[in-house]
Amino acid sequence: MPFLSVKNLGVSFGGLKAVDGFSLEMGKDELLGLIGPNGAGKTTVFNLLTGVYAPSQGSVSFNGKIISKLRTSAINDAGIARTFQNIRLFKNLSVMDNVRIALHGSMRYSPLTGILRLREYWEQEEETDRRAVEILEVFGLSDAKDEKASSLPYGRQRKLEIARALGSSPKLLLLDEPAAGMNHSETSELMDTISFVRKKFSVAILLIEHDMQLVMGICERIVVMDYGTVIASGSPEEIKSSKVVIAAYLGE
Amino acid sequence: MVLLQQVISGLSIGSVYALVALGYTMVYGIVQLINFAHGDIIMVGSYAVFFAINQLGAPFWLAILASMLFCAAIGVLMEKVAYKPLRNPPSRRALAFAAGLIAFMLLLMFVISIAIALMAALCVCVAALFLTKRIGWSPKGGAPRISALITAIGVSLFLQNIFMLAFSPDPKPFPSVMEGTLKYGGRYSISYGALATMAISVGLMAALSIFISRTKMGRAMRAVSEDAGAAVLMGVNVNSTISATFAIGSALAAVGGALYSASYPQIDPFMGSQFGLKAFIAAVLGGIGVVPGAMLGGFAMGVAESLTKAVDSRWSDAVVFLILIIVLLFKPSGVLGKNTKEKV
Repeated sequence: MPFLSVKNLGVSFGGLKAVDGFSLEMGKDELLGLIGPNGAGKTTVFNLLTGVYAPSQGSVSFNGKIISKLRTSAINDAGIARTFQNIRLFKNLSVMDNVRIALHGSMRYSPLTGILRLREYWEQEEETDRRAVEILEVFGLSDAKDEKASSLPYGRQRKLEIARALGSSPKLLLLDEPAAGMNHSETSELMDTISFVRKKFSVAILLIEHDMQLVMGICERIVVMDYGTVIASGSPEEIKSSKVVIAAYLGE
Repeated sequence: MVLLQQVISGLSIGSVYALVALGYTMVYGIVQLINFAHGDIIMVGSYAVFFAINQLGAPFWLAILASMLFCAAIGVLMEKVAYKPLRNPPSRRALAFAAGLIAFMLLLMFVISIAIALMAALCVCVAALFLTKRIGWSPKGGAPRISALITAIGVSLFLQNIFMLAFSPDPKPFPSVMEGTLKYGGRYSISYGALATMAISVGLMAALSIFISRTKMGRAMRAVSEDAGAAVLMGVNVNSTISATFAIGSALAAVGGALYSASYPQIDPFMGSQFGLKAFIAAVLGGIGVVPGAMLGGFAMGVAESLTKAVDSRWSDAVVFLILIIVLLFKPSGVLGKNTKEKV
């Protein structure tokens, strides 16, 4: 059984079929790119995978478990975490709190223990702080841990989003246009970060990206979407020369 | 010295306003709902304390604890029954239940027998279940925010009337629990009740602040109030976070009710609406959705009211509402509220 297997997934909004018959398989440590023209349904696929939308057809199995019927937060518990196309940090919370919240799944004390400040509370909070700092260090953010998330410059906010997503110890990380709004050198740096994160946290990564430098540079396999379904998949070389893909982007 | 006396008694009643305002503001911060039934939780809490002391002979502190638990449960129940179904799309079962309930009420008005009405309502219920399944009806989206607001008013009326039915609309004397006064400077005195009220309220507010800033559930609350959609994707269970917010807010209102009734020893089923309204104004004054704002607003409101009473007690309510009007005119986001820019 593959690590992530999406079969015939679909959802429609009113009469519009945003995603229709989308299928995908992914291995345990794969780095897969998902590309396609604007409005092809890429982000909708992310929303279906993470449970933001309930699929109207098809199923998703992940790590040997059907997850397409689970609650959104339970899907996160099962090991899928994501970032957003438009940054959605908890802006008025500190950098550290942003990561701490993602670490909640690993904290087991009850609210009463928290009020009474029993030993369990201190132990778990300390462990959480240690892990949060560890993750922030990977992204060079530990110096800003007490600042408000909104006070960080754009590039570092993007990094914090990835850091926060990694807080819940995911097995699969979904990155929605991580290089959006970045310049050439920032993108190069991001590529290094993604490769590093993949090894350090041993996660599979599925990423949506328009930046071809990044996609072609780090993805082993690329899936191309158009009109809510897969139109091509293969290695970067195959995709570059695929007639179907060129037609989807540029027209016949 | 009269001034000082009035300020102290204002801070005392203000601390109770602050406790209740916290419930309004926390719920608003998390689900953007002005929970008009929150004021009636004060009334429920006061009755709970009343019965614990009069019928069960419990000491005051134990009665407050019991009332906190009871009100927390009522708050959570209120959220689950009345507000949650509006946030999420209604299930087929909920729809069928609602249809059955409406049928039952209508039939009760026109038909005499409860048994017949009940049986007919059951038939309507089953028919609705069957019909929705047959046509494949599937609900989408939650209700608009105004529906939740109107529902809150409904819950408020429901609580008032159910208590009126159960305990009659007549005011009941609340047992005197905190007696005695502290004399100072020979001529002036301050009641122990006022001091205890302040001490308990400030203590609870300090505990709440630590809870919100330092614990897991508190952080989850802040995250949900920032961006519920992102929070749920980070594994935060939004529903239990909302329940916890209602539970905490209601428990604080229970304490507020008990302390209020201890200093104004008379309770009736409608006591919550006026008091709740003032606490709500306190929350607006401080900035709704902002926790320190509710505390500040509560104290400011209490002092303003008390100082007006020193001049002429008939003016106190007018001043309270004047404050609301001024805040809404000049700083609608409240004293500590963030200015939200209107998008053009």
